[in-house]
Amino acid sequence: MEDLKTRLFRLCSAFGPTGNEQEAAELAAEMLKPLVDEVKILNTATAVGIRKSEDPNAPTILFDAHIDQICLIVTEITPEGFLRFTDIGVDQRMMPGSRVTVRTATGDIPGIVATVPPHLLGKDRTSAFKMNDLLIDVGGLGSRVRIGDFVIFDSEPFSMLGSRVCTKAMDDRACFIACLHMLELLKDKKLNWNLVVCGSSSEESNGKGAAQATYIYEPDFAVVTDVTHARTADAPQVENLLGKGPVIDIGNESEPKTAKRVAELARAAQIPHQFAVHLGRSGTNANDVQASRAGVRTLVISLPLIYMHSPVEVGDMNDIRNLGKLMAEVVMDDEIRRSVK
Amino acid sequence: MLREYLEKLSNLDGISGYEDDVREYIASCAAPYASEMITDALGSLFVFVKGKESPARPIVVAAHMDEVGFMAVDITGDGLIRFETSGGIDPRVMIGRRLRGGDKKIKGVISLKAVHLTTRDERAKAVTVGKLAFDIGATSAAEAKNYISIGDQICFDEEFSDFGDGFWAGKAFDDRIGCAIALEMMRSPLPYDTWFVFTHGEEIGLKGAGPAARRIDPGLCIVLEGSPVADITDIPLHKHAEKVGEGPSLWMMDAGTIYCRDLNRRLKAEAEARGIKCQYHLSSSGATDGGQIHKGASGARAICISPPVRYVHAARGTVKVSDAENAVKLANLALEIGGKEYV
Repeated sequence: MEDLKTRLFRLCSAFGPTGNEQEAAELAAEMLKPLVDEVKILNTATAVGIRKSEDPNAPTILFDAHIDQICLIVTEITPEGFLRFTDIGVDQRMMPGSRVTVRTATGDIPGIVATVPPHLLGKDRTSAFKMNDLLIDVGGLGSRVRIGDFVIFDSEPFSMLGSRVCTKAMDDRACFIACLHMLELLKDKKLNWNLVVCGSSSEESNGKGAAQATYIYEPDFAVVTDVTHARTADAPQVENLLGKGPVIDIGNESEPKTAKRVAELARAAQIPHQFAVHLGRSGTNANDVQASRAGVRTLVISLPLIYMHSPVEVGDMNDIRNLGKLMAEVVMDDEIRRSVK
Repeated sequence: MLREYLEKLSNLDGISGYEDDVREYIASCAAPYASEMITDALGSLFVFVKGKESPARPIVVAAHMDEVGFMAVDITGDGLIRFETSGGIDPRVMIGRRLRGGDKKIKGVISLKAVHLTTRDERAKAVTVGKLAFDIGATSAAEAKNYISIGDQICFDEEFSDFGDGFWAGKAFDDRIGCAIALEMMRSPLPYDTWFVFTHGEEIGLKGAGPAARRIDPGLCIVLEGSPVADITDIPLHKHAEKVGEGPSLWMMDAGTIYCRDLNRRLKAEAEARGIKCQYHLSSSGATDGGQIHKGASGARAICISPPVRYVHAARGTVKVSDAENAVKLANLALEIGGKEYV
């Protein structure tokens, strides 16, 4: 099996914009296959891996990481052959001069988000561009594009210094990779849960993948893993730090009692970890998972990330591995297991 | 060999004062044709190529070697690298870009805190360079200093490629396209002895051009550039400056030079007669090396020939292949006519 970083880079390079995740779901399913008993792709383009417990009465624990990525959707092809677009989750400050990939019916074509050179700009260079005013240049191939075509950032993954890595779609495929690591660690262990791992679709819009998977697999407990902000020079007020381990969430969508237990498990296993509090929404799939059917107990454990929603998201491989390790501890813990049913 | 030259030149890194790799490559390509090669005190490269005849006064074909980019000015305790721009770059096109810097060409990114952490006011305003940092993943100044020193160049991390329907894309087409056109010109027999001058420091104030003019004292100067254009939807027609696909442009006037009107008109007419697409550059902002060369010594007639390049001074620009190829033809024509009657 390829090492974790190679799989991360491959998965983050797959085409899986929100609403058009099939290719990414297929790759996620392929990555799950050697680590579980059964793999499915739901009709929402959500990849699911299942490992059943030997105990026929075992409860079910579900892990969710979304595999959809932020994207643009073409809304117009101008007479001059440029593309106008709307977005799902894209930070418009990243756009001017950005490289993109447009998936047309006849294949992928590269594009560049158009900019006006400084020589020809008027006086105003102080306002940020508005998304609606931006255009994609596809080098005269506008006739191959249709309204509704999906567009993603064109950004190659690369390793930075230390254990840092940079690629688009770390949000949230990095957490899916952490789930794979968890499965690797549990490979030869006897499970007291039926274990379901989802690479779910459309978190960036309506969370339908996670909602569907939770409805179908009826977990007794669910762990949602998504990225969370880490401190940068221009955001010094952010508490969590890159490289300091997974972030245990405490709040309405992450049971304080269980969160406390997870912190104990982390300390005992010497896994670096941090905390975050979200009184209301955590901003993750936990909201949909928790409300599924008659209600599901949820926990949120996050991965620190900087430059979220840019083409150059940066995370730490050690954080990814430690997140996987911590989630494996959750699965193996008798106390959490006993707290169910 | 236009594509080969441009590909190599575009992929090389060289901001003002760091043109060494670019100069070395150009010198190696020019060597078979040169009867004399000089590098001056500022780093400009002069290549003398003999032609069929000696002109009445020296002829210069000029292209600048430097690209716009960044220079490291500080390394913070957190391992981030603060920088200044070398040449004019709009801060709004720096965000979310990947770059490479220092001798080791370490890769890193310029980005901002996540949009979720911004206020509406912050989102509405463009960011300033002072607030940006080049992040290579170092977590301490000591770690960063293994890869970057203060004063090092940092360039956009781009690779040249074909693009769209008959385009090339890559960084630094301003003015590596000019350098490539000059190299391509050398490969055909020239009508007149010509000094091909590859200048240092155009982007930071036409620095190499003046001293170059005083060394040669030309009677005619043909500047080769990549034109800034804005022929995109929403920009009013009168602000386009040029139209991609309509051939290389002849510049009429800019902040530094009023180009030779008579030669421009002769060339436009001749080009049309020979079926070489050619247009006028319809903006008078910006400047080229012509600004320093035409008045730098005893006076030269100057023209500027440049194919339109979209997105100059951003990470990745594009040029239509036919425009670049026609620029070679037009430049050769300019040498032929200019060398005879406009020296």
